[in-house]
Order: sequence, then C-alpha cells, then structure tokens
Amino acid sequence: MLAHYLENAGIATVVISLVRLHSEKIKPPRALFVPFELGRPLGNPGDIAGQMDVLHAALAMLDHTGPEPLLADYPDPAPVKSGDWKPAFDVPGAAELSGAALRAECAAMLPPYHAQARKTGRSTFGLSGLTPEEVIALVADQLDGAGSRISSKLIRFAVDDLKSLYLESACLDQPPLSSAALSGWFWRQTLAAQAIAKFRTDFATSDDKSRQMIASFMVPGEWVDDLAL
Amino acid sequence: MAHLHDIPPRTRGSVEKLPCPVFETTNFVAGGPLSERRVAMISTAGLHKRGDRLFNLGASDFRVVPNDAPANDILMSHVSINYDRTGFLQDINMVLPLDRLAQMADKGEIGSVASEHYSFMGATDPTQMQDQAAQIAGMLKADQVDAVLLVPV
Repeated sequence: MLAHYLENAGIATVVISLVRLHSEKIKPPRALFVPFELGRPLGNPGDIAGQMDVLHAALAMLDHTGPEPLLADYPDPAPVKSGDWKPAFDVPGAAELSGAALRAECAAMLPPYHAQARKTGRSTFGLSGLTPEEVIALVADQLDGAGSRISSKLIRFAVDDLKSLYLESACLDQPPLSSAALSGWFWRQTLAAQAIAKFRTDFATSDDKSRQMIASFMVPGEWVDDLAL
Repeated sequence: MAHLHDIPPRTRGSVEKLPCPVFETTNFVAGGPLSERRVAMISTAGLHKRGDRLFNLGASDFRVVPNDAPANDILMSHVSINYDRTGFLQDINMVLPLDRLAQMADKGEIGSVASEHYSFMGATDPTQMQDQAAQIAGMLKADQVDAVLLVPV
C-alpha cells in the first residue's frame, strides 16, 4: 500500500514481497516476491552476493512503467540443512526453573555476549534501556515473584533484550546461522526460554489487562505449538 | 521459505486473513537509468535509532534512520514476534541493506544513496499510514530521492 501512496505522490517504488498473496491483491506497481522466511527479506545473513542479487533483481524492475503492475518471482533458495546445533560454549543445565538457576545460566552468557559485541561492533540489545545485568536481575526477580511491580511494557522489552543477549551470545565463533538452529537451541535448551514461557502462561491468566496483552508478545506462535504451551 | 505453505500454521492463518485493500488504478512514476537514481529505503520492521521512541502496539507513525547510522545504533521494536529475528541480529542488511546499497553506489550501479531511510511498524494497518507516507514523500523529494525500495519483514 505504501508503494501506491508514494507512487501517487510522484516517487517511483519497488517492493520486496515476502507474501505473494498480499502483492497479488494489493498490486503495487512493481514487486519482487522473494521465497525467504518472514524476517529475512534479503535472504541469508552474511551472504553478500546473495543480498546483492536480490537488490539487483528488485531495483532493475524500476524500468517497468506499466500499464499493468509487475509481480516477479525470485528463484527459490536451496533447502536449509537442519540438525542439532549448540553454541561453542558450555551452558549450565538445571533441572528446575528458578531465579537462581536462571541467574547462573545468564552468567554463562555474559562473556560470549560481550565478546560477540566487541567482535561485530554491534548488539541489538537495548530496548529496555537497562544494562544486561539489570535485565537479568529483573527477569530473575519476576520469576521468583520478588522485586517491585514493574510495568508490562518494561517486562516486554526486557524479555526482548534477554532473547537478544542469548542469541547474540550463541553466535560467537559461528558461521551465519539459520533461524531453525538458533531458535531451536534457545526455545528447547535454555532456562531463559522456560522463564519466558512461564511469563506467557502467568500473564495470559492475569487480571491485569496490560499483562494479558503482553502475554502474546512472549513466545512465537510456532514455538507455542512446538512446545505444547 | 515464505511460500504460504511454509509459514507456521498459527502465523499463516493471520497472514491469509489479513485484509488487503484494492486499488482501482496504479500509477507508475518513470525515471532515469538506475545508475543515476538516488535510492532510499522504507522498512516496515519497526526500526529506529537506539534511544529513539520505541514502536508500540497500533503505532502508525514512522522513524527516521540516517544512512550513516552505525549498525549498532539501529534497533527493532516491532510488536510481532512471529517472524525470524535471528537474521537481523546477525546482519543489519537482512532487513535494511545499508552496506549493500553503499556498495552499489560505489560501483556506480545506482547514482547515490539517500541521506535518510524510514521505518514503520508493519503490524499496523497500512491504511492508517497514508498521511505519514505523504509526509515521507515530501522528505524524499527534499533529499532529491527518485527511487524507493520498500522492504518488509
């Protein structure tokens, strides 16, 4: 839709489309359907040649000036090999979820998290406005029912930051990773994921409407199903 | 694997049911060769500079992402969690290909890269973004932009 609005305002556009059905209905002037997973419109991380190819294919469509909308298809990528994967460092296991166990697991994540941030010069941690140590303390306290009551918004963004901390840690000394590898490890193997799943359950049954609302921002739908939450 | 049949069932249902308005006519703006175009990007990934306002549920406004913003200064606060974020955390170019556009400009494949890019949060109904799109169009013209790449998430 943005393409129609901009084109009506005199700006030429080309859309990268992740959902062909939507482009078929909305009919932007020029759209390149890419068969990549949601969240990865340019293909694969670190794949410079592949990303450039997508851009070349999309921007070349600017030559099209009608009269009919142009919806082109980018070739399907090679299938991703799946399999068990784990980070290059050891993560302490714990049989029972608790604030103390979560703190211990998080403590193991901090060195690789900081090492990865130094190596890449980048982190996506920071939505909560808290430090990693403060996020860990906040989440662990919430898990134990300790600490002061905090806003639902802060919990939501602290959870997002905790996910970033874990997933960026796991990328240390690894080649670019698939979503299946990283997400599979996080949701199946970590106490942090168990804690987030517990928040989801607790918030969904809370009397507080703001807690009820953020319950749906905790665990991706595919993992709700996979983990039978 | 964003073919509909590859999307996890819970997300696929909402994707299939998403209302899509019909546009009776389609305008096509012509332009010069790609090698002379000034290109900007508009993302719907809920991107913004570190320290900028986060996107909240229902947000229809947009954020400005300067082209020279370091990757470490670009965060994502999209409300939806039903898409992959591990690509973005490994490589900013997954959702906002800043480095790739710069390479294209260096090679002369495009004329130049815009001073600023823009981001909405795609979870909001885009029909609520029409006024903001007009505002962005004015900003794009002020920056001499004549081609926009729209990047979803």
